[in-house]
Amino acid sequence: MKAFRLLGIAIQALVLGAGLLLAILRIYGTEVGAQVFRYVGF
Amino acid sequence: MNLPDATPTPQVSSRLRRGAREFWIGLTQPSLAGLVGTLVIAPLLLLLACVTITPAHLARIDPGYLMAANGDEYGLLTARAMQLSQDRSGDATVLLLGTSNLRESLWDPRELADALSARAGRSVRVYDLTAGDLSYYEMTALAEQCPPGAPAIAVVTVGPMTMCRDRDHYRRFLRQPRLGLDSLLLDDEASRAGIALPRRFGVWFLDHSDFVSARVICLANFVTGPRRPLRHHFIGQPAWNPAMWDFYRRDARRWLSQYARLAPDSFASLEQHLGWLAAHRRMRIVLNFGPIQPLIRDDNPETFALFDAQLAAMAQRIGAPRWDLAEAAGLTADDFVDWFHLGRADAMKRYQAALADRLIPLLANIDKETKP
Repeated sequence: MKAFRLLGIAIQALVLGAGLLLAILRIYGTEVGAQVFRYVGF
Repeated sequence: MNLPDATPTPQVSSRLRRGAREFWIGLTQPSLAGLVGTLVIAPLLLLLACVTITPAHLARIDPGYLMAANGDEYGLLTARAMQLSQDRSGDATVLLLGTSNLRESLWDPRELADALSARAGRSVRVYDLTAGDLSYYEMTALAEQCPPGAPAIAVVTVGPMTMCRDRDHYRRFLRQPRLGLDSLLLDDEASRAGIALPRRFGVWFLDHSDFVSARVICLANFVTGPRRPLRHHFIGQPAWNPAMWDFYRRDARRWLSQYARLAPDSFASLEQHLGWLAAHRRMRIVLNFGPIQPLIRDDNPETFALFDAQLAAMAQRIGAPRWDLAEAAGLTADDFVDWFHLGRADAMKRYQAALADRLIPLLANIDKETKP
């Protein structure tokens, strides 16, 4: 049964990880977002 | 005949239900493992994207995959420029650079390539690098993608409108470039406009994250298939209508009223860029005056005379031929739908044929002229 739960957690992490990456890219793609990223050193 | 009973036993059914419940709990409930997994997977996906989403890889796929919509010309141009940058065929190459003015003057660039190949007796590749409102420095940035020493002709198509756009109009496109290209010439133009260059990582995916983030939707193209670029936006629209004359005349006068003030800066910058392309890419450059509604030209004689003189002077300084194909193509006022777009198929075919006639003599000597 543990394997089923781990599979669920893995899919959750994959979806959230991809979402997090897309969100960061989306924010970085805006003018204000890019300025904020540059301000903190990126 | 005795068939095995497919109905699960109560024991199996109960295990499946428990398994599904455990899966659902793992999928939906917050957990430390899920948080750690998310924080590990995001950078791993980023790393994977940095390694796999590169110009060299993108150049191998259909350019339509990089278009966020059928009208996304800048995604398309980026993909075509990547193909150009990876082109090691050694074939003669013609780069058609211009705004919607040139885009709507060409019937079919593939037909043009076939006609040029047949007449030149060698394989000729034509890159259609046209897009609505393309600036002159985006044109040169696209030409910059051509590999050094390739036997290439760049047909840079400009008109008074291209050269009199207020720098503020394009400033936002320098800050957030519409093209996902590494370009010294774009950087140069940004520096001229006083825009600080962003930090570069030397990784395409990171350096062009604003271009990428605007095209996340392109992932769907890998399921639905590549987008098909729109062509001939004006065919089928009513031909030049004398009733619209006042509107177009006012529009043209408003646009051209700034010409004398803004054009000198644009010409100086374009000349530098073309000089760089001739020196570092060794390509043959042609300055082409895009077709304009003759009535508008007659209505603004001073502006067009000034433009002609400035283009002729620059052509002479950089040693480039200057073309105006309107007469050779036999274009008349009725061939236009507005003041700078052709709207009739036969006019586009005539223009394309006139362009081919001019390109053939240049193609005959292109290897000698572009050799280092």
